Amino acid sequence: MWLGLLLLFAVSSVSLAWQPVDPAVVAQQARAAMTAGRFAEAAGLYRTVVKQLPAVGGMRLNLGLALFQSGEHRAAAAEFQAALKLDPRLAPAAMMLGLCHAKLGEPLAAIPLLERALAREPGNTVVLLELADAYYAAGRFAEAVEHFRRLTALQPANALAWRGLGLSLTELSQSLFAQLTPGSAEALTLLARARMAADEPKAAYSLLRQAIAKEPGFGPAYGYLAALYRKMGHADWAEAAMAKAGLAPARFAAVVAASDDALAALERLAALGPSAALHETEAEAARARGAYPEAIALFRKALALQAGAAPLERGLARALFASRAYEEALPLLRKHKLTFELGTALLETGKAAEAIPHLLGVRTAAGQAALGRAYLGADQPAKAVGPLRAGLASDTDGSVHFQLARALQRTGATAQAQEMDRVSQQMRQRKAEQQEAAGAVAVEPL
Amino acid sequence: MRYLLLLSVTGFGITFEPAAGPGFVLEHSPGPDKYLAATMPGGLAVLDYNNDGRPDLFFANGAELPSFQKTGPKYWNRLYRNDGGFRFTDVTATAGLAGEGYAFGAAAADFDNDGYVDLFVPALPASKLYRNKGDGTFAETALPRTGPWTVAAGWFDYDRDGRPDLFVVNYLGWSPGNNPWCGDRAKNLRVYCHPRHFSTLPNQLLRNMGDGTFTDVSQASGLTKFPGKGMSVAFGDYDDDGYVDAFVTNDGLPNSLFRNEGNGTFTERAFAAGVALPDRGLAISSMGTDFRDYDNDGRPDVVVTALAGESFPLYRNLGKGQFQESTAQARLAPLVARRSGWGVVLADFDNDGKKDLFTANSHVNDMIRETSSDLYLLPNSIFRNQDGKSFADVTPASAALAGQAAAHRGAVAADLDGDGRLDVVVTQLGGAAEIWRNTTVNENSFVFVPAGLNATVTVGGQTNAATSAVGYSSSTSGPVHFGLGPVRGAVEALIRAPGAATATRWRGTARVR
Repeated sequence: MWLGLLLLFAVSSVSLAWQPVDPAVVAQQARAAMTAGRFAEAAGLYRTVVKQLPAVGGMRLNLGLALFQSGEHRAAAAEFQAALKLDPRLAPAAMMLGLCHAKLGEPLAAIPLLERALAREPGNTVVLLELADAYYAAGRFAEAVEHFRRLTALQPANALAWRGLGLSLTELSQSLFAQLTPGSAEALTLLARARMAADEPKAAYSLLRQAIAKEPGFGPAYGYLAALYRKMGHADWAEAAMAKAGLAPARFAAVVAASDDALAALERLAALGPSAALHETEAEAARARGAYPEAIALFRKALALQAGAAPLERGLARALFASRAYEEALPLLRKHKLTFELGTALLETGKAAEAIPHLLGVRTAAGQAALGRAYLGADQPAKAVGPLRAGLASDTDGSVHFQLARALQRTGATAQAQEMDRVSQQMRQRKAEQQEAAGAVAVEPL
Repeated sequence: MRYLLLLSVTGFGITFEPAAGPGFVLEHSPGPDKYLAATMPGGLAVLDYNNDGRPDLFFANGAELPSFQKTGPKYWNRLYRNDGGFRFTDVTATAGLAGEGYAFGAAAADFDNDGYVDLFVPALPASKLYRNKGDGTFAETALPRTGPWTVAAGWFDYDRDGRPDLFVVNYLGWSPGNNPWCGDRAKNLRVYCHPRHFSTLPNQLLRNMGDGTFTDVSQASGLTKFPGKGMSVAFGDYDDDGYVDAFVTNDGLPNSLFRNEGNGTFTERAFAAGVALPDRGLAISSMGTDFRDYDNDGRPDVVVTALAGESFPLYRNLGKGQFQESTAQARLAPLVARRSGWGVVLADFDNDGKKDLFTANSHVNDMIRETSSDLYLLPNSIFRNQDGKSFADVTPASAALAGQAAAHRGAVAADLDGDGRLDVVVTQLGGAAEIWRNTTVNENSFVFVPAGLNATVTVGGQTNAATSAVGYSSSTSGPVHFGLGPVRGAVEALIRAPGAATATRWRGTARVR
């Protein structure tokens, strides 16, 4: 599909015959190379032509197309920009520049260009898909949903469209949930709903109990409680709970609707049959629930259908990493420059010194904590102190504080080490208490 | 080339080959209910029960679950007499050691000082103490109740009255009636529950009263103030104050180091001493442990086995009551990063004067492949101590050992064939115990020094301890082994009993195989 589209844009080589090296001939060769799928060769030939005809916007466009097809998105974008400078009405250049931005992970730059392209060609499903993806990447999930819906209407058999719609709705549901007051009856009931879907009735029950304690008149909580009781074989309790069930407020209903629609979209994706998009979606779901070997197998199935696809390879690398198959993950982590995971994988295989250069550039708190741990493992406690301090923000279980205490102790800062040990101990204790509390809920009628 | 090859065979390797074992099969009764007990047995003991100079073998065995009943001979604990040349005779019935309940391990020592090694067997629903009558039979002896779930134990003379006392390691608050469903319900994948689902238990101390009875002094000694989820115990005088201390591995919790205060009480010092957690700061699934001096500085160090991703932390004793994790410095980190281990033994397998490391490997979770790339069944490992500071993985030199993946559990080292090279016995769930005959080829000499329980023995620059507890819920009793390298002729050992002002001299001869 892409090649057809690109060749449609390609500018004719007539009227170039007067040039000394005969760019018309070269352009003809370039066009032939494009047709044959030899994009790098075509790019080289078009570059020769552009050198001789730098002010011909069409040739810049052709060069950009060849570069785009070669995967040289940054260089292609420069050519499309040059083409537009020469001829601002060159609509294909604007569209292709939008696509370049999308491929380069610059959705905010891509969106206006792709919107304009789509306005000119409302039926262009390639642009529509890229635009929907760009909205998704930009975190504008409502607009992503709208565009993916349009795409599914135009192409009901497009697996990527259903996948995008499902994921966008999931994110939309989550972003709507994030707008609720944490710890409110609405939020707690929604969390309980998620636990019920994950077949964790005890956790769901605990959350529903908290929701009702927070707001005894919150109707939806009783509805879910009734469903929970019914599932556990307590029909009488369920009946009593149902009597108190009530309508959901709009905000609550919007979260539930988005979540249900997401599920429906993903079911449509599954109904289309095997595709890379389906396997990728299933793989991500498996990874999210901790079924890493299953996720790995699914990413591999997806890659069998779409060899070399970067997002799939990145997904596979992350699944291998999560499954602790570090040795296998390392080549892909290196290839896709997933530096945090790469550094951590080296750390986890006992190669602390090797991990250090990869973690040096990771500026997140977790990255700094990993860097500090690497220095500590490489017996460089003085160098570990700074990154570990910077990594304290990522500490949820006291482990980073403990590591910092070890580094401080080994550099002679005993008093500071003791203070870090004290905080570490408190955090560990708190976590243990939370775990104990979570497991100590007995199910009984409310 | 031939010369180089000869060097590599004779100078740098440790090799093991399989020997015919006694045929003991560890029956652990796995099942769909995933009773936690089923993944926990496998401790064993090496003891010379008949004082014939040859180390005999005792294996703890499982039972039916959830009844804990030994409903047939296949569940019997087993005692095998060593007849030499790797031939063993099953003397269980004669010895009266078939036992009761679901047994997890063993602790061997001569608690009544009659010259014959006795046995404590931790088990569910009740542990048992067997007194060796000296005529080839054992008699069950009364003991204060231990538990509710005792998984390991070790003998040590904490009050220096000359009578071995019993340190009892209690695991956690699981029972068949408290066996929650853990796993992935969507896939109907049930797994053994993580220890976090169960309550902690305090360990126990049973004081030997010298008249064949024991008194539970857990409360008075202070042990009950420090509950945990104990898996194993090892002993050593880590702060060199003359009183033997106890290190306990905890599953999913910081380890415990019980410092013997010398007045009948213990304080818990693991954090202060630096052995509670590895440097990473996360509690790990600490399994087996050994407490010996790997770097020949005269101070006992600690090694712990754990699960894949947790490494096998090695804590070097720096003196003054302080340890430092040295897994990375000892070059063990990359070697053990992906392994899961249970039994662990620090012993000199090539008689070069430096203690090497043997680990019995397997994951705890038989469904681990469903959720990660870690493996359940694993081959065992041998790490050679190269220079007193670092280890190298020499497992591949023993092809059979490197290729034999199983659900390994307990491991002990002993010179079963009397050739001066320490062999290894390893148990496995649902399979026959493995005997690994040490086939290391070199000209190094060795000596075995007889020493009392908890004595510290020094030969040349090496120190070793006469201890009853080793690895995972396992035990050894008998003379203390030293590899002596090129030493020939007379050898002098200094034997220091705990707290003794002076050491006793023992003279012997370096032997060469």
